[in-house]
Order: sequence, then C-alpha cells, then structure tokens
Amino acid sequence: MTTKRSKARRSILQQALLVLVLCALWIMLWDQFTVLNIVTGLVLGILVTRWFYLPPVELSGRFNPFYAVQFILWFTASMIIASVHVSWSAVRRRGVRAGSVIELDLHTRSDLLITAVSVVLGLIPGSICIEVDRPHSVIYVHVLDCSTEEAIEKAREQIYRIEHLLIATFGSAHDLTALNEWRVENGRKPVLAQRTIRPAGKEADR
Amino acid sequence: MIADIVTLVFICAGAALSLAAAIGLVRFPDLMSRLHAASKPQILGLILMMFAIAIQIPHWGPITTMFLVVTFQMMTTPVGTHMVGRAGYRTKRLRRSMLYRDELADAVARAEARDSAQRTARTVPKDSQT
Repeated sequence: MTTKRSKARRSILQQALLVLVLCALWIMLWDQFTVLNIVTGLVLGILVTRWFYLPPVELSGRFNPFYAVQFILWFTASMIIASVHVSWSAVRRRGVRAGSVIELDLHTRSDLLITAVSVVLGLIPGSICIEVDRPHSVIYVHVLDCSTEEAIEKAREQIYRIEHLLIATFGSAHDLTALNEWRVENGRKPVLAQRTIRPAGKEADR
Repeated sequence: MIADIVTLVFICAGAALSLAAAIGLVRFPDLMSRLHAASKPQILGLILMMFAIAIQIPHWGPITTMFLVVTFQMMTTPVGTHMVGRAGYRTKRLRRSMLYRDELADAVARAEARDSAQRTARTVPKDSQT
C-alpha cells in the first residue's frame, strides 16, 4: 500500500525536478532572473514534458555527495591527463599503434547508469563506446593505442573505476549489491556495505 | 595582471588542444582513431577557453551561457561519436590491422552461431530480420 503511494509521490517529485531543471535552463538562456522568465520557464517546462513525453528515467533515490566529489575530482584529473596524452600521440612522430575493442560486462542493470558510464568514458579521451548490449548490460569500448595485454587491462580497470564511482554516487541498492559481490570475489573491500540489499530475514523488521 | 596571465595560459592551452585535435584528425590512420582525435581533446580545449572568458567577463549572463555551452557539448559529443563509431563498425568501415583485439567480433560470431543453431533446430527455416 504505502509503497505504491510513495512511488507515486516519488514520480511527482521527479517530474517537478525535471520541470525545475528546464525552468533553470530557460532562465540561463535568457540571462535574466525575472518573474516573467520564471513563469514562462515553468509553463514551457510543463508543456514540453507533456508534449514530448519520454519514458520516465528511473532514479534510484539515493545520492552520496562524498563519492560525487570523489568522482568529479577523478574525472577532471583523468580528463586532463588523457587529453594531453591523446594530443601528444597526435603530434608525435610514431603516431598511434593499433587500438582494441574490449568487452565490459557492467554490474549495473539500470539504463541510466549504463548511459552515464558510456557518456563519461566517451568524455575521457582514449575510449569510445561503440556498441551496447542493453539486456545483458554489456558495453563494447574502442580504446585508442592499445596493443598490449597490459594496456587492455589498464583500460578495463579504468572503465570499471568509472562504474564503481558512479554506482557509489547514485546507484540503486541492487547495483551496489552486484558491485560488492564482484569486489569481494576479486579480493577488494566492499563499498557502502550498509546500503546494499539486506538478507531476506532482516527485511521484516524494517 | 594575474587574471590576464591566467587567461592567456588558458586560451593558449585551449588553442593547442584544438590544434592537436585537428592534427590528429589528419594524421591518425583509421576511422576509430580519428574519432578519438576529433572529439576528445577539443572538449577540454573548449572548457579552458570558457574559463578564460569567464575570468575576463565575470558577469552571470555570459557565465551561465558558457555553462550551458559546456554542458551540452559534454552531453552531445559522446553520443555523436558513439553513433559514428557504431555505424562505422556495423558497416565494416574499419581497418582490421588497426585492431589489436576485437571482442565485439567474438560476440557477434557467438551470436551468429547461436542463431544458426536455433534456425537449424526449427524445422521451417525462417530468415531473421537482421
């Protein structure tokens, strides 16, 4: 009962958030913070979300600012390093060696996270997502100048790092559980263990 | 004075990155590598230039507009490169010699093997859409 109502409330909240973001976009486009702009922005936001209806994005409902900051710092640093690297390989004498297409079996099952991981790895120079297998959440990534086994492993590690940080930032409990199972299997520490799905027995007393 | 120097550094770095992107576009040998050169260093270059402008014109108007420019660039470029790369791969516009390993080809081969096995299992063979 309550889950249904809270779900409905959450979807209204999400819609409101979307309209607010569109309104902010409108104000930024006009460069003026006036009442007229806010009102027209809200009206247009509502109209646009009604007219161009898209299937709603499923947000997980959690957000971890600590990991968000960590992600942004890591992303900025790796973007700068990789940009310089790609630029250097464009101008240096020997150019680039062969690249590789690698397969990455992501732990998440959410469309939003698959998209986020693909976009982020598309922004970091040296990797582009060229194919997505949505039902199995497998992505295929082309990596520039990647002609040794070590380079492939490094690229794989980096892309799993993106996924790990993004799941820790806003992934659902399901995604966290899947990620932690993988991490424990590979002898690493689980992240945010208290946020994962609890064992069935403990569900009752919540 | 310091603001001017920082602006100068940012603009030069941004221009250098864009130039490197252009050079890479010409020098890289195949479609996939060129996609890397065409899309990536240029985004950082654009961000640096926007920072430089923001330092010179510290008003909300231009800053929010530049924020939008950068945001949309960051959202659309990966999608664009993805579509070109995907189309390039699917139409086989790639140089095999420029691929050290291709795990997508393995996956395609596996899927085709599975499809043909299913087709032979059925008594009436039917051509699939793809």
